[in-house]
Amino acid sequence: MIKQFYCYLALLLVCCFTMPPHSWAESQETSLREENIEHEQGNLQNGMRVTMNLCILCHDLKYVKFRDLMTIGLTSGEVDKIRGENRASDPILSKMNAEQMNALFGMTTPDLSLMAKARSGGAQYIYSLLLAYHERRDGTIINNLYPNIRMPDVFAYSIENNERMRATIEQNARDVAAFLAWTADPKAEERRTLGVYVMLYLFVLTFMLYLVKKKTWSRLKP
Amino acid sequence: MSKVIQWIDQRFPLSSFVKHDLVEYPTPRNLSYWWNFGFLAGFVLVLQIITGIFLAMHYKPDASLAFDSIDHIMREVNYGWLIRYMHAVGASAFFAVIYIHMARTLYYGSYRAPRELMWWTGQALLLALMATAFMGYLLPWGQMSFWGAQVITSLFGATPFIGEEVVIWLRGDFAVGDATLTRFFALHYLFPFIIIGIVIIHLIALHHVKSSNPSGINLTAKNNIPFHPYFTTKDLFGLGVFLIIYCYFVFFNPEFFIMAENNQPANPLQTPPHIVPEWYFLPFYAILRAVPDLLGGVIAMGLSVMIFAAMPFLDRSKIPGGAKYRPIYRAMFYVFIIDVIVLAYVGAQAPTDFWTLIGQIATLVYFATFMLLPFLSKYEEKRLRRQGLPPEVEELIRCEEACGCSKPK
Amino acid sequence: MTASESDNKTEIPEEPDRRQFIEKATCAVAGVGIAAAAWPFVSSMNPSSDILSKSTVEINIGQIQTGEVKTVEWQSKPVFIFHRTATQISAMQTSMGSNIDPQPDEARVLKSEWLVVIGLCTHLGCVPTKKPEGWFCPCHGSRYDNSGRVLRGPAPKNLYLLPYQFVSADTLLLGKA
Repeated sequence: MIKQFYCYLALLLVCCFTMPPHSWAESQETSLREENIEHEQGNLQNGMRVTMNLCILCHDLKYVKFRDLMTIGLTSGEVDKIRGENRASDPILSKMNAEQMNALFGMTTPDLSLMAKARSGGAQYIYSLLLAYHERRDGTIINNLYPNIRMPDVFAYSIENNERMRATIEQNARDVAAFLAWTADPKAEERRTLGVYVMLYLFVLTFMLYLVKKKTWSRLKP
Repeated sequence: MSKVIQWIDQRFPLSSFVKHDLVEYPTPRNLSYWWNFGFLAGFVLVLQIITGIFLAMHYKPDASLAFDSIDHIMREVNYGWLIRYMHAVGASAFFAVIYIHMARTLYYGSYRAPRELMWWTGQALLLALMATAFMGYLLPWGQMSFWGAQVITSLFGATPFIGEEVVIWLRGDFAVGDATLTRFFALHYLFPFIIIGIVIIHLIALHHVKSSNPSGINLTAKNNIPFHPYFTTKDLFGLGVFLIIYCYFVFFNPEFFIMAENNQPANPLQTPPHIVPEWYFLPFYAILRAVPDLLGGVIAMGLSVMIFAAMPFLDRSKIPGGAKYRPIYRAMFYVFIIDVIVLAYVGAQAPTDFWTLIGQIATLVYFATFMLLPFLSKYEEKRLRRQGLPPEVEELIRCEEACGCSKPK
Repeated sequence: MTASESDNKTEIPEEPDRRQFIEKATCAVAGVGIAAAAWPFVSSMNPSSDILSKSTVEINIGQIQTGEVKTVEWQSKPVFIFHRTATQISAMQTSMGSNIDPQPDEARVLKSEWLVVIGLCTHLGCVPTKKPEGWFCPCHGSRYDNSGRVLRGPAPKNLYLLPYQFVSADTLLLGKA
């Protein structure tokens, strides 16, 4: 009987923990690309370069400061080159202001700093979205993942026929996704590293507490 | 040192308190690990208060600054990410612990005489916890924060005659806005201290009636053992296991309980496609949506939380041992647990005809288990007595009657 | 019936050594853990990284005329950058200030024409105002000379110095020596 109770409670816990409400609520019309996104420093730096050349034309990265780029391995000299007139402690902003954005797109373009956390699917979603553009028979271009998107096909992926160029664009899109995953969660690496130590410590401590408990209770007469 | 304690003891019952209520406090020796969750709830409460106070040192309760200040905590404040994730995961941990604590009480019948006041103070704690969690969820000022608060405050519009005035009064604005955020912050800071007050009452009641135990009757003194070192060590071991699960989420999956929409700043002009409350509110949200009428839905939802308080009246059986010796009660318990899980699942779905129907059936089952309990529990008792109780239950009832321990001294 | 009476019936007398060792070891490990867990909270009250990144400030001093003081903000405090005239320099170099806190002028400047000091009175932290002969604190009447040395109390110390360097002829970097 007790066993049954345990089973049901375990079931309750499993349900609560394995099915996050947001994934229940999502209905995926088009599936995301499955290629693995690498998060090595080289990928982040390449993603940063692509982002600074392309995305930053229309989007802000307002929660990221130029000095933060040093954490993905840039030297202060390289950061100085990127920041130009800006101070190292300034946020990375688009050259376009809200008015120009409105004139061009009819809306303010969303800030990209938290994008990888603000969309379910995260980096995989960003990667898939960037490459979801297709040319239709009438020559117009549509994004399958987000048909109403106002962003143009910045990589010109939909009209690229050269296989080698397509592979380069795919790599760039993966790296942009990796870079934006970093801007959304720059402490991820620090968190995981610290987490490993914390978990190891807790396993040792809990085991010791178990021994103490067992020893203490062994003093009780049955 | 002993002189200092002596000085204090002449003015305040320090030593005798420690001796009677912490060290020698008699505790049933047969408590299982299900009895750890009260202690864990207390631990999470302290954890939430500490992390919350440190977050409040950096958080700005202003609609134009709140979202940015959270990001500032996550990026710039030393270990700000850790403290914020501890607090966010802690909210879910709090409800997980509390729900298990409640399930244990229901299964073992710990709400029955003489522990009704413990159950009712527990009910008050649940309400205070829900209010605190709801108000805290607005503070990050993300899309789900904003629309969640918008929807839940709108429910008060169901108040007869003055509904609209009440909603505006609650928000301090015509929609959720800066005024709402600031007052929610003030109250979110206040409520934990009210919770501490109720917890103290809960514990005073506990130390008066003593812990219940899996057998379902009050044990004679020979079956009690001192709290320290037996239950201090057992509780601390349980805490270790809890911390392992908790820290897994804090360090390796911290966004698990945070919806993606809440990483977008609040936008009063655009509702997210699905508004879904946090997992711990899903069953009640499903009940709200199951009733087609607004006022009816609000009443049903309120009732679904408050109805637990009626348990001491609804359960009329005299058979001890909670669900252990009571097959019908046990079956109802499992039906109820499964039903709550179904409701939670329905609460997270978009309201299609199919899911609304499932939600309505599950809502009926939810209330039916409470409504049928008085009749089924009496029937069950008669049937068990007719069949002849197992000898160990006879023994328990005899023991109960002999020493009259069911009544507090 | 008290719990200690029931002890006698339910407990087996312990073997002290073995139990105490594991208990003490566990307490030690737990203590280390609690201390480590407290650190992030203590640390979170220190200046955050955005404040630290502003702890050095570059100042263009090319525009400051001789005899003029420019007040700039550094680490949330006012800093006086004083371009001294030749007469002021020679007057300061021959004096040691007053008896309150005597100090040669050379110890207070990197280049004799530039005096860089924290613009807060060392008494209670008001911002002194510039006078031809130095500074005057409006709060309690302390006086300082053109080297920032205290001439009259109640201020107990000369105006505090801060670390700085000349990055180029007309650029100062405050906060880093």
